[in-house]
Amino acid sequence: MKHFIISLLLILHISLRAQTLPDRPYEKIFINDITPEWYFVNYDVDMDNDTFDGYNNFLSIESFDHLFYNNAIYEVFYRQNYIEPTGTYVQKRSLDDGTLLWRQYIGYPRDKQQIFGRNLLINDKDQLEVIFQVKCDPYNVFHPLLGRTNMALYQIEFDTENGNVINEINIIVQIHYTYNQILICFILTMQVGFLQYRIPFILHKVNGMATSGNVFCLNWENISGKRKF
Amino acid sequence: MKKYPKKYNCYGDLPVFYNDSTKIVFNSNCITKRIEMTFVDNVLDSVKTIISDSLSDKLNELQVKYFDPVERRFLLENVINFDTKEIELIIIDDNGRLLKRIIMPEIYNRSYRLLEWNDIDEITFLAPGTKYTSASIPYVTLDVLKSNQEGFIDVVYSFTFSDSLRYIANSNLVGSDSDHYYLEFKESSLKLTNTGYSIDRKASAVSMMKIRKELLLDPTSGTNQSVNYHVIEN
Repeated sequence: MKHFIISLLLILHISLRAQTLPDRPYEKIFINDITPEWYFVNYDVDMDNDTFDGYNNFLSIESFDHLFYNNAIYEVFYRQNYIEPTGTYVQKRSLDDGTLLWRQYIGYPRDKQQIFGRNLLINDKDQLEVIFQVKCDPYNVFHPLLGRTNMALYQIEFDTENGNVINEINIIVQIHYTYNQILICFILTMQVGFLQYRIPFILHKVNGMATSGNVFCLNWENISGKRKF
Repeated sequence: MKKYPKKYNCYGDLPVFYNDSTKIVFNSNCITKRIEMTFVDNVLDSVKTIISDSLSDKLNELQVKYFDPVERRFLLENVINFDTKEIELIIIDDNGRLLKRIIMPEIYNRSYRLLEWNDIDEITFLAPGTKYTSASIPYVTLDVLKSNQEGFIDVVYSFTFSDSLRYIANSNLVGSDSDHYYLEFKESSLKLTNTGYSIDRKASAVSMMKIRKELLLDPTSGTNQSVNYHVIEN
């Protein structure tokens, strides 16, 4: 009976949230007395449909910073879908004129699971490395993301020139920590033949706010370079 | 693995990464009104621990919001009234010495963002604030705020929007150079319903602007000239 009521409430909640178009179509904002040198608005044509307008699917993340490097800004946003985020936009913009140079989307439906960017740096090969948290179970709208949802760590290396994925590394398979936890880890790198494995040891876990989880790998810089601001 | 005691922890032992070599784990104590700063090495072993001055009469929920690696000081946010969400800002140095307390007006709550804090007697913030016309119609302004020596906030300038239904719900300073701020905004809208004005929660967008610093810090200087103004949507 309890499961029936929860499912019923969830269906009701999803149906209420399914229509997510704003009352008025999006219009640019103008601040009186401020003329910016440039102004860009994040827009995803793939999310411009009956339920989203291509703008309101972007969620900014406060738990870590964008990254400035070589006159560009590397940004990470979540994409929301009905009731919760399903994936992560990774993108690069020119600081000169705000032009979007490339954008990649990582997460459902490209992948089976929901995937969330948790930190980023430029490594010593001039690649963009992003650490993600991946929900251990495939995306299921009836199994919403909760603070205690089990997650795994995942890392992708992007070509900074064009955003192409160079390498995807499962740096951990199944260690039980949760979506809202802030992790401090130490990564051990092992080379077996041609294969490289990265095994993080979780040194410390802190319960964060519902969506403020983050991952700090203390020797990440030593393995892969440094964050460059 | 180093374990940290969690006695009377107001918020959590949130780590702060100070620079490449120094890391600090904060632990607040609601009973003594002090915080403990444990400096740790790369495997989280304790190097030294510092107990701060007594910080506030009402130490309820403490967060480390900003840190300044040059001046070696921290800006903490403390909720002094859970009902009204009234907050105070507490500035300490890395010896735990209380440098300043600032009361943030309730209208801004946690929406303030730091712009400049070279001088702790004159810290500049940016925050959206909701106000009402004489006919009780709500409108939002983007306010530049400055703290004063007495620990209160003065409004330096209120920027309005050309469309009173469109507004900036949140701002975030993501970077700066010598002349510009790079500000990320969460844009939103009000809508008129049968019961009055309310927030259109489906109308949101994330944008970024590159803005000359003097437009915010000295809005009356008359230097508001477009250099290369254009709007990009992508």
